[in-house]
Amino acid sequence: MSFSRRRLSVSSTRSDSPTVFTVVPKADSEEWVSAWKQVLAKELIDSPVVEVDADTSVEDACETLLSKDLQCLAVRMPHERSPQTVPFYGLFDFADVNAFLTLAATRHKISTDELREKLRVQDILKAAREGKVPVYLVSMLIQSPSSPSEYLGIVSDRALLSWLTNYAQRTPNLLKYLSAPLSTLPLPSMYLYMSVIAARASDTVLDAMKLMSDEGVSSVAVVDDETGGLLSAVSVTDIGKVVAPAQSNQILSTPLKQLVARIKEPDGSTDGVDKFPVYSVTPNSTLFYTMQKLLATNAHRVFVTEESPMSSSPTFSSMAPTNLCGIVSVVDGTSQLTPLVPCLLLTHSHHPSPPPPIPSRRAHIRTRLGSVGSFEGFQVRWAERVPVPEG
Amino acid sequence: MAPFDLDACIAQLLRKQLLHEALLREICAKTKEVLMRESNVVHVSAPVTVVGDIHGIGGYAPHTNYLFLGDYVDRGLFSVETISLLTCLKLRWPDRVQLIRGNHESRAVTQTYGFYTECVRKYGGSHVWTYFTDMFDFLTLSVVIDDRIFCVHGGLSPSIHSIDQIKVVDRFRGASCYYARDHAQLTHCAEIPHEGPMADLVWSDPDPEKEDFAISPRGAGYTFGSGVVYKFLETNKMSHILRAHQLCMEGYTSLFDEHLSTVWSAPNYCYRCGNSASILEVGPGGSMFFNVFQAAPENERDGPSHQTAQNAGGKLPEYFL
Repeated sequence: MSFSRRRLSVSSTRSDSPTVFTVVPKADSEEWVSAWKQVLAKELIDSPVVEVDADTSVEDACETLLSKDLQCLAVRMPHERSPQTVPFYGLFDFADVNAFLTLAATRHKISTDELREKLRVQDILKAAREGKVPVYLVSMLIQSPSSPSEYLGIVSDRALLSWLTNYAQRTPNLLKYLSAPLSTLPLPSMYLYMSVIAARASDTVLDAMKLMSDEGVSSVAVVDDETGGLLSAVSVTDIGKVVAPAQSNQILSTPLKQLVARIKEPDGSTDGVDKFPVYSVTPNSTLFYTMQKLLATNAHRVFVTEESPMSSSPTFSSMAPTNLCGIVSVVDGTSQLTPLVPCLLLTHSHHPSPPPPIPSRRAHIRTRLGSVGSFEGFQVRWAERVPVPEG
Repeated sequence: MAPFDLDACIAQLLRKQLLHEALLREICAKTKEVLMRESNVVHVSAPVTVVGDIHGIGGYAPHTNYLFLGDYVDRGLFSVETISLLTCLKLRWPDRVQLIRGNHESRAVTQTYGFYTECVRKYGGSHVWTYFTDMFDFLTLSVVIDDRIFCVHGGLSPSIHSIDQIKVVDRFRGASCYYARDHAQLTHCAEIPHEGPMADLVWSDPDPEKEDFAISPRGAGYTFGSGVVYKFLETNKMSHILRAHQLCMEGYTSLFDEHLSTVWSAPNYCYRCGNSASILEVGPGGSMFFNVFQAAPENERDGPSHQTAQNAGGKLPEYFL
């Protein structure tokens, strides 16, 4: 790949005002930010807060996610913990399901030394031996306000993206900015030519689960063994739907190709509306098109694939060159409005050469602090991966 | 290989017997040569019998001119027999049988929705799948009946305003020259891209609630509304758009003041939808008649173990063997 294209420099400020880009006239960006600032969070609520008790089993909690078609559950504070002023201990979602199942499948491989340092993992294994793992042990901790005011609902990242897309449609200068091809935009969280987390179609389901858990991502691309072409993708939600209710462990060793067929099979089998096996865009697709596609397909991410042959491309370990060259998630679509990534933007703005891969940043907003396999180690790994700014 | 007897092959397939793998390779290769000579827009005259999505339900034989609108494979249990028969029919009567490419005539989709698995199960390997998917690359994209009726599998594209634009699409280049069989060689193939006019023609759907184009929830193609339909018909001096691609509980639907029709020919889709199916007859005077039929009673249970898919009940035996 060539990095001769100029990386536009990015300036950012800290927490209270969102990132702006130097290429956009200040008046424009101020206009957008001030419109954004007037939006009330409650106007964007798109999901209810569904609560579960702390000692609900992980299996039952997963079943609730599936049967109620939810993205996450709010886990109540365990009774034995005090103070009781804070109503919720944490959030539980499919990434936690995946991390838990991966731990269950790989626990025999954790050395006793490692185990000694991972207190939470020890708690989980102990609970498992006793017959039931309570969901609070597996859920992601949240910081909730100390006053137990009533929660009105949840604003998902999709709601943010939807607002932004609607706003852009009626704001010509923003629409113009968003109509630039992906490859030209300086959004640092979208390293187009970085290696994307991917697995081969012949790899096992457990391989994919481990990848997602270890790398802190919510999905992996599935690529063709021979050609390296993008075939499909497997997400933590798919794991929750297909692996969690499975009666035996056999599913863990089935090839991803078969899992993909099982996941896709219900699509269109009752309404005849078959879907494309994997959602993707090209580097020439505009950001606005990509945002619309994310919303239209109700997907969390789309992959970026090259249409024409790539003479040299980043390879993923020992695989053949792939047409897969990037990923854009709902998070990326809203990253210019959310002030959650400024520290990372600041770090990379002065980096002249290709930055090292930081795959976990794709799941940044839903940070995998709850990723059980690497919970205690997570903070350390994150710090290791963030490069030191030059100059 | 010795010259093969196409009529014997067809008879064998109608008896629900699979053709030998080597024979299929030869048939697909010869059919590719026929298809290669066809334009992206094939012109035919009525009377024509138009068949929508089949999805591996069963087989047919031509008494009249036939136009198949794509989606021959996946989902049903007889995709291999179905596409084998259609390929033989095309080779045997190339001017009386037209096969349009559907979104399921693609490597990516058939690996996900059943055809690949069925090929491996029935032939013990993936060669047959390769022969067919290579042949799919050569299928035409659209047909025009009597210069009046535009027929395509999915629908319209924001990049295509006139039929002439379809004619210049390089359907043989497709999207996927990147497929590298090994690091040195690039193998040419023409898989349907996920974007662009070729993708739109096989993936798009009409939307009666809209005027214009919008991104499709299917992940490829667009939804298109009344404004788009009328403009296309006016620009190209046509009176009707015929397509398939969407399940119709009654076997067919008409939209936009009967300027667009969807034909769906797979009854009881996935052996659970309980829908009717239809086959359309277009007459020389422009008449259009939908023959509606149901799945055979045997098909309504857990999926056919009998080979009854051909006799899909109702009027079907009058038209087919």
